[in-house]
Amino acid sequence: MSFSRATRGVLLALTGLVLLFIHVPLALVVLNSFNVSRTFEWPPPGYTTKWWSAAVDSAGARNAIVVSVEVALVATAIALVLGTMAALALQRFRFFGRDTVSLLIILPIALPGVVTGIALANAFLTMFGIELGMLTLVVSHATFCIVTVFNNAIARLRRLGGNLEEASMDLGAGTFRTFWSVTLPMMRSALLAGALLSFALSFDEIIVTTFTAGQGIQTLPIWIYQNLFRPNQAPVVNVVAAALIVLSIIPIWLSQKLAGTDESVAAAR
Amino acid sequence: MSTPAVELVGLTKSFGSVTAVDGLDLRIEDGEFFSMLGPSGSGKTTVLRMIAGFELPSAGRVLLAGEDVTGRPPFARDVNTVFQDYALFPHMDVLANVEYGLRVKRVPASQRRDRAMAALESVQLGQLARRRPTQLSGGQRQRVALARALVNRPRVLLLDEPLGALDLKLRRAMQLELKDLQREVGITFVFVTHDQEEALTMSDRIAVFSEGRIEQVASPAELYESPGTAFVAGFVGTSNLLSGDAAAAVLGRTGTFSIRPEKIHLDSDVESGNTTARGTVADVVYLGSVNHYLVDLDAGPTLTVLKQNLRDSTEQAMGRRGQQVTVGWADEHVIELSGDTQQVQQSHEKEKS
Repeated sequence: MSFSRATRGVLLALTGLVLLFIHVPLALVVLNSFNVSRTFEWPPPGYTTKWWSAAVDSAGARNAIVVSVEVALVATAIALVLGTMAALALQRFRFFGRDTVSLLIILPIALPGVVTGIALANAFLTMFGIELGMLTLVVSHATFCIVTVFNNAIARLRRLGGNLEEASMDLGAGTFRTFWSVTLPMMRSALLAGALLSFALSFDEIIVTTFTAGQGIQTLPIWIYQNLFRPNQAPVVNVVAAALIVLSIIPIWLSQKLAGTDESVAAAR
Repeated sequence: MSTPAVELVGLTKSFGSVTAVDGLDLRIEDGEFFSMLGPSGSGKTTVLRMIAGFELPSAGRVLLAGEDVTGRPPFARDVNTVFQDYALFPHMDVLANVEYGLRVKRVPASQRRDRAMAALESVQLGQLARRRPTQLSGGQRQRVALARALVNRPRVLLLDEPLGALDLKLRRAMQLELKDLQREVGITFVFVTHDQEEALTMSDRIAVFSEGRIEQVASPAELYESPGTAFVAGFVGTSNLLSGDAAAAVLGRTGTFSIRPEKIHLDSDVESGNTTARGTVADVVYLGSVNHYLVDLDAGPTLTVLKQNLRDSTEQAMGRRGQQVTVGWADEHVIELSGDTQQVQQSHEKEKS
């Protein structure tokens, strides 16, 4: 498509505006982590790194990060196994009620977090009689993490078709060998992208977490939420937020790199 | 008679309410280059997929070398397939692709490497062993797919329109190469195609498919010169089909008849003893080495007449539009056909005996 000069100018200006709108607040968070003022005065009266050293020393923040990473890793691992298996079953076999099952798997991501949280907490406490804790938290996160893995996996399987698997079986490989040597390598980049997204979803989840984590466990979003309005802690919270912004660039960059490997999928068609 | 390499007994496949393959009986002899020819949707690919084991028949049996393999999965059958889109593994290099079948069967590494390289050499791709499939041209991928299947030394090689994606020149070259290769290795080839010329060029025998049934099984020459049904006459080569009133008017006989365009002579080429008819040239189609004349006979029907461009200039040929001409043919070139099922069954009977 080609645009006139004026149209192009307007589009460029709009794009710039949107980018500014999104990224200026983020830049402000990073800047404020060096702000001498405890109340984030604007313009900053001076700059310091004392909040960063305070954050590194904060046991609460460190503990919360460890918990969040653990929960996200375990939930993602569960999601990878179950999501891949569900996608394979739904894509490769036809059975009665297939579309309904597909819908039921995707549903948790559309449900409001409050509803999922209440429902899971009730089920854990009354039906199963399990104390809220690490286990219930991980299982709850896995319910929506499965969706991202499932969606990525089934989209890839659809694009691949069954041709390569037929070729593998034709050459003498059984079902398991075919999955290991052909299907899984072809799905690898899709699964990694799904896992990254699933990790990110779990890492910043707060609503379901408040209902299912119980008293003893504090994930990073909950720690931030509880400390944000304490005057002494606000600068430290800000530092943690700034650090997260910088760290988030890594998975985004990775998933962009992964998108490049899709060429091999296109070539398989 | 020796045990056939492939035997299909009452083979039927339905998809929902659609019957793709309808009670097929067929014997493919050991070492034969056998083609399954038919328009798309005639069931030929479904038959191939049932021999390979990708589809389970709704009824009937598949026998390989006399052994019933009807219910066996693809990996437990001694056949290999060359797929229409090649289906090379994109995450492996060419050598790993060719080695795959041997690795799965736990052939020792050194032997595996030698056999795979030999297979690649036999399709002239030894120097590309370390390339990825994405770095190859269509013709090269086709050869890799062939090597990947042949390295396993299957009893039967199934080929599903493997030349369909190649350009005409490459396709012609590959046709001859495939035929040579088949003679060399002595493996039974079952070749699916919708291209009648391709089937005639390569095959020992051809089965013509229509609507899930076999119309006729015969050698290329027999198929062309004495087609059993109107469908075969129309699908294999070009035919002038005359039936009903047209047959009565032109030939003075009742029934369905076929005359090949190259067997009809024009004006001075008409030989003594020929049956003749008068007509007007409606159109001349220029095809390079030959011309097609469409002649409206005074008796009614239109005949296509093929004439080689030996003496006439193009202008002379084109100038015959609208002219009165005499056409003639020898009676032995009028082939009597039957489109009804009785004839089809007879050709089946002949096949079985």
